[in-house]
Parts: sequence; C-alpha cells; structure tokens
Amino acid sequence: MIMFDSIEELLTHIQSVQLDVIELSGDSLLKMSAFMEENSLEIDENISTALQYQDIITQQLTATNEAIESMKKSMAVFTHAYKNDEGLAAESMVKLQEKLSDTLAEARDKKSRFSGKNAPEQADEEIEFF
Amino acid sequence: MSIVMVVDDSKTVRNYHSAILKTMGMEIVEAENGMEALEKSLGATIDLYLVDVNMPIMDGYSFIKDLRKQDNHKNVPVIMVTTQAKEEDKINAYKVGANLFETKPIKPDQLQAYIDILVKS
Repeated sequence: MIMFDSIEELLTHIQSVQLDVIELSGDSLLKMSAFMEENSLEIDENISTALQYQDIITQQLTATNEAIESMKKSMAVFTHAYKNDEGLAAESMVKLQEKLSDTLAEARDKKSRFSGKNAPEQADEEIEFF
Repeated sequence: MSIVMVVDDSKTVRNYHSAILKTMGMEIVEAENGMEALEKSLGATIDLYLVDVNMPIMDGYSFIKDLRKQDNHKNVPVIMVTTQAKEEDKINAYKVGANLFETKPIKPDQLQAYIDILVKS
C-alpha cells in the first residue's frame, strides 16, 4: 500500500501544478487585456482566439483535476478495504479497476466536450435562431 | 443604449465580451454566476444576455430556466457562448430557452453580428 501512498502524493502534486497553470494563464491574459484596454487596442481575431483558448485550457485542466480527485477517492476506498480485510483484496482490486475505467471514460468524454471548436468530432455548425 | 449582461465565472471572458460590446456602444452588466445574474436581473431592463454554461453556484442552463420564469425576461435574447461542443449541450441550451448556442472560439465580428441581429429583433 506504500505504492498507493506514493501515487496519491504524485497525483496531488499534479493537481497542484494544474491549479497553478490555470491561475497563471488567467493572470497573463488579464494583464494582456488590461494592456489592450489602456492602449485602446482593438481585439482582432487572433487575440480573440487567444483569450477564448484560455477558457478552454481552464475547463480542460479542471476536468482532469476532477478525474484525479475521483482516482484518489477510488484508491482510498481500496486501501481502506485492503487494510481491514486482506481477504477482500482481489475483489477490491477488481472494483478499483472498474472505478478507474469509469473515471477514464468520463475524463475522455470531458476532454472532447470542453474542447470548443477544437473538438475531434465537431458538432453541426449550422446557426439556429429560435 | 442597449444593456447586455455578461454572465461568466472567468474574468478573462467577461473582459473579452465587455470589450467587444463596448465597441458596439453597449452598456454592460457583469455577473460571475447564474445566481448573481438572477439577482441582478430582478426588476432590471436587460436587452440581451451572454451566458456561459459551466459556472459555480448556478450554471447557465439553470439560470436561463429561472430567467424565463420572470415575465419581463421571457423574450429577452440569450446567447450561450461556451467551450462545450457536444450536440446534447446545444439541445439542452435550446430546451431551457436560449436563442443561440455558440462554441468557442468565436470571432469578434461573428459575435457582433449575432448580437446585432438579436438585439434589433
């Protein structure tokens, strides 16, 4: 179970890095938009895309952070079960594997869902007004 | 002067939308989530809403659903601009009462054109 503790620590570290990246990318674009406003610079298509990509980055990293959180919870459940009854280890391992597979499937779905127009399978782009 | 409420938890996105709207001569009201937007919409005259989907406290879908319950906001145009690209997200948006669902990144002139059409109609 020491291995799981190490994995848990590593995952926590990855989460921490991802949160820092979210904050830094947000700050950098806020500074850029403040500079543009102070200098009355117009938002062209490239700047517009850059500003919106930041939101996509945030959504993607937040989704992977949620997946990591889910992995950590599943691992904690397994560790708890194992520590209390080693006889259940095999069964618990199967359950852990299932949980991790579910987490992976959900994470992949979110990757596609939060990709904006960069999504691999682009939804119908036809404009519909109601 | 038309008044547009920008509802998004990202300050970067609010700034971006506000900058575009200012060039169109519009007045902007900002809200960080659906709940704050609902509170600000009560008794207010808003000509258009620009709404994100994923927000803490209250998401974009719940916000629009509740907004449409207010008599003076039943027909106010709502544009959802989001990172979400799935067809089911678009369907959900229209089900709760959005007028337009657009996926990021959206070009400034495209957004301006949509706003122009919806505010004038």
